[in-house]
Amino acid sequence: MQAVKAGKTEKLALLFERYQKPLFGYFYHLTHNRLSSEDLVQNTFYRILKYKGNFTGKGSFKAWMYSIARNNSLDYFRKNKNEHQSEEIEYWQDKLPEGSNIVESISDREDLHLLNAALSKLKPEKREVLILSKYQGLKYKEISAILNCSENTVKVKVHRALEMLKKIYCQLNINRDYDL
Amino acid sequence: MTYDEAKMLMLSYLEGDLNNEDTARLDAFINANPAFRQEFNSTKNLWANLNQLETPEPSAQSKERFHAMLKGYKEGMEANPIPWYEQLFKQIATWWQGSYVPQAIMGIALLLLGLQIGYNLQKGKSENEINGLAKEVQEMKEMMMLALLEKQSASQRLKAVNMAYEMDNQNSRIAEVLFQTLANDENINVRLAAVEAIFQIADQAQVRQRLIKSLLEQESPIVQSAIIDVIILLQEKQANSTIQSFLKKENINPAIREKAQNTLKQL
Repeated sequence: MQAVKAGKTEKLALLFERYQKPLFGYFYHLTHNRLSSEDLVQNTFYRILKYKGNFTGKGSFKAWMYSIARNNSLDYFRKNKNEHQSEEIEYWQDKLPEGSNIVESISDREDLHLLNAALSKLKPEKREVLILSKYQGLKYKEISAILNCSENTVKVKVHRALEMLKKIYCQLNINRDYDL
Repeated sequence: MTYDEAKMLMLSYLEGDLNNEDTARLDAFINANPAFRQEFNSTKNLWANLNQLETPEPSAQSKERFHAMLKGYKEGMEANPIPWYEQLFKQIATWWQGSYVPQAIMGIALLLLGLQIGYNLQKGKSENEINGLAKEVQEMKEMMMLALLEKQSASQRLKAVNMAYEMDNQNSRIAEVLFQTLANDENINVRLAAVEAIFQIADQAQVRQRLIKSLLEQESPIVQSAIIDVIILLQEKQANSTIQSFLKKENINPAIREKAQNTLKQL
């Protein structure tokens, strides 16, 4: 990143190669929309170029990049509200199986759809910590740098998000007397 | 261990960052609390099941779009390079944000500036306070002087006249009090003391004129002699006409008359 900052913008291609997939995964799990996620990845790299001068090198590049990505996703949710989210949930709800159980390991594809629907229904700020922790493989400490809070706060946020996810999963799984 | 502590350990466990000692503590808590065991198991399963959610791959076009964007950015930068002042500003901003040294220097400079301003304000305040106090002391002395001049005892009035030496010699009120004393006090010693005190402030022309004129008002030869002595010391030539008028007076002590005549010659 220091080379990009120094004016060698072609070096950004290396960073794109390394982070395109994780970033796409981050946006995809947030928006559940492929095209929007690709646009958001594109926009994140454009902002990295535009604001390269602001990268101080004090923290890691990864944390800085996710801060930009996070701002991007916040802008996205401001513009799109929850319209597409509800569409996604309805889509998944139509495919809900009878008798899903999260306590046991999920082997059924339909149960996975149910979990995906539950994740979609989670509020973006709750979903975000799970995505950063689970899908981006970031440690709580790294997430705390991105969210600008303490490590313990991140843990509390992750715990609350998991509890809420369980609750939504149970609510969606209406056809079965579910016990968590 | 409390529930909150166990919750934090559970999250560290999910992160894969729990040491052996804490794992043993968590195990013990789980075994002792069936309700927590249920929560732990469901959370652990949920965490594992989240792994199974698919994340699609970005399309091949997204890479092409990125390279087109990068190319466009580079061409745009080459066509419209950033002005030197903007670059300089950015460099300063980065330097400022990138190190604590400039921030520390600025912090110390601002602290010193604040201390200097505070010191100056305090100094100005102290000077004002001292001036105020000096003025109050002066006024108190004046009041005391006036009070003493009203006393029956001549020694007290003498003391009052002598207080004039401790006061501001440019103060016109002090001069007025001294002339009043010279004109009206019944005691010769007090009047003589007044003449001497007036001599101390005789650098003012107005005071000199008035002292010379007071020669005509004095009846006591001793006081007249003292005033003539002051006129000689001051070498005040404007006193000529006053002395001539004085010589025209009747009942003047012969010794004083002679002294006045000699003074006319000296001037």
